[in-house]
Amino acid sequence: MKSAADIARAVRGGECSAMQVLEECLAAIRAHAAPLVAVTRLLEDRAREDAGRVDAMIANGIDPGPLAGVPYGVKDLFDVAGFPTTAGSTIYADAPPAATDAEAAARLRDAGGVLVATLNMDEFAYGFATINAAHGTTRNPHEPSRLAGGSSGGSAAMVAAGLLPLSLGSDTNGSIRVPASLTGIYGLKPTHADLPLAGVFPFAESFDDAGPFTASVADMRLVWEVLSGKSAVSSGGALRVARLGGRFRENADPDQLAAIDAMAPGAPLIELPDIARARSAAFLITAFEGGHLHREALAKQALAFDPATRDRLIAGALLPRTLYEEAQAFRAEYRARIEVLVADFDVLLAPATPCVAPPVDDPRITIDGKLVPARADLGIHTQPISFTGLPSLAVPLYRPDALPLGLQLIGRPHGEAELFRYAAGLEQQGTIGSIPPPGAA
Amino acid sequence: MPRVSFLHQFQLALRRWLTPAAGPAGAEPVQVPQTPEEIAAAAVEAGIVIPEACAPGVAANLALLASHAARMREDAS
Repeated sequence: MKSAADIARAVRGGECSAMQVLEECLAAIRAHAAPLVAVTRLLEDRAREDAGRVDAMIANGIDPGPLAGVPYGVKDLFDVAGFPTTAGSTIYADAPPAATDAEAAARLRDAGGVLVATLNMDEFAYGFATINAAHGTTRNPHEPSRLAGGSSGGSAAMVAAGLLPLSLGSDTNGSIRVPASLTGIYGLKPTHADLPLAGVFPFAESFDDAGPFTASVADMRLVWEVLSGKSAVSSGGALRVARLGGRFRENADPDQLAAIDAMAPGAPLIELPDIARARSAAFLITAFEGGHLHREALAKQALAFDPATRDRLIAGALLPRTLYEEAQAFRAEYRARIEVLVADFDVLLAPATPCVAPPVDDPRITIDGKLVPARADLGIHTQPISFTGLPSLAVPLYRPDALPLGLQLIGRPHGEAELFRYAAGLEQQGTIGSIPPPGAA
Repeated sequence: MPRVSFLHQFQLALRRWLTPAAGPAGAEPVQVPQTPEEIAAAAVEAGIVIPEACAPGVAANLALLASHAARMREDAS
């Protein structure tokens, strides 16, 4: 599939219509998407209305916007007008339909985007696997016997397979960056709460963020500008880069460490203090907020929850409030400490996941020499960054003959423009880049 | 979309504003419920009846969370 920027350019220039782009996209999805188990709802009627509106604007001499005719999908927790927002759960299958689109989807639509599908996820976004009891397990387009990662696995798989040029996901502890790494595409967790969350089903509000998946840096920058309403203007000058050491250099693939060292030879190796404590505090806050969000439903119908999430949610609902407050106090102090520590750098380099995608039939990974559940532990390198609230762009290492694997480019608060500039340079050098899987659309 | 979300966010924010960052000086740090009795008491307080099928998983998850609480409280590096 063409990039979002190329599609919009062609539609705005009259080379093709938004409807033509849409029909080609729908045909490709019908032909290739089913084995991925990534689509939960195909919105053909809605998409044709959106595409028709874009074409009518062009016919009337009105510019539809920078995403004119670009098809996209959203994780199944974004409000879509006229449909219940299920967050991947059967519990909300009969909920009242959303009155309006989520704010992020509305901004894409206002820029000319065409919403095509809602996409699979771990129930209530609680997991890094996209193993969903209602919809099935999303498959990795590069190797269907492996996981796509989660919780925004459907959003990642569709872009990685070339069936959509962009999609939206949410990231609480790594749910965009983990699947981006495992499927070989770009995924952004923005500076905390910088991109609109209105109309997004919450998980743990202390860490929840919405963000895009794309197959190129240029598209990522374009979508971020639309979602944020800002221009990605970098401050200019040489970027100050550091490598994250300590825990981030353990449980990593040798290719990740070699790439980081090659990207920034001689760059300072800095260690974020108390990283294990930070990850544990993030676990506690997430468990408490998720558990308490669903407490009433757990009290009424615990067995209606996905078996993979209900025990975790119940445990979270039983955590003492004072422990949660203790974790929040640690977080406030920790964030302030880290912002001072990283203030002298524009980009911090770290692995995105500790390994390539694990097999679907044995979803475990090795951490500190022990086999642990991928669902809980694939976010070992992303969860501490969420705890700091810093922006983090997952980028795919260019590895033509190997399974995808990503890095995190971590910025200062509101430093996304610097991340895009640095990533664009790496992409131009051929160090990073998305590689379509065999037989991609 | 759960209509509790706004209320939930408001409650969390309010609690953070109103609650001191730490417990009283000298107080024992609060623990994660782990024994069957502690879990049962916490479930009653939360208004949740833990289904039999969930009990082992809930206990295992609480044990994991207890280990995270212990790690969070380790001495700073």
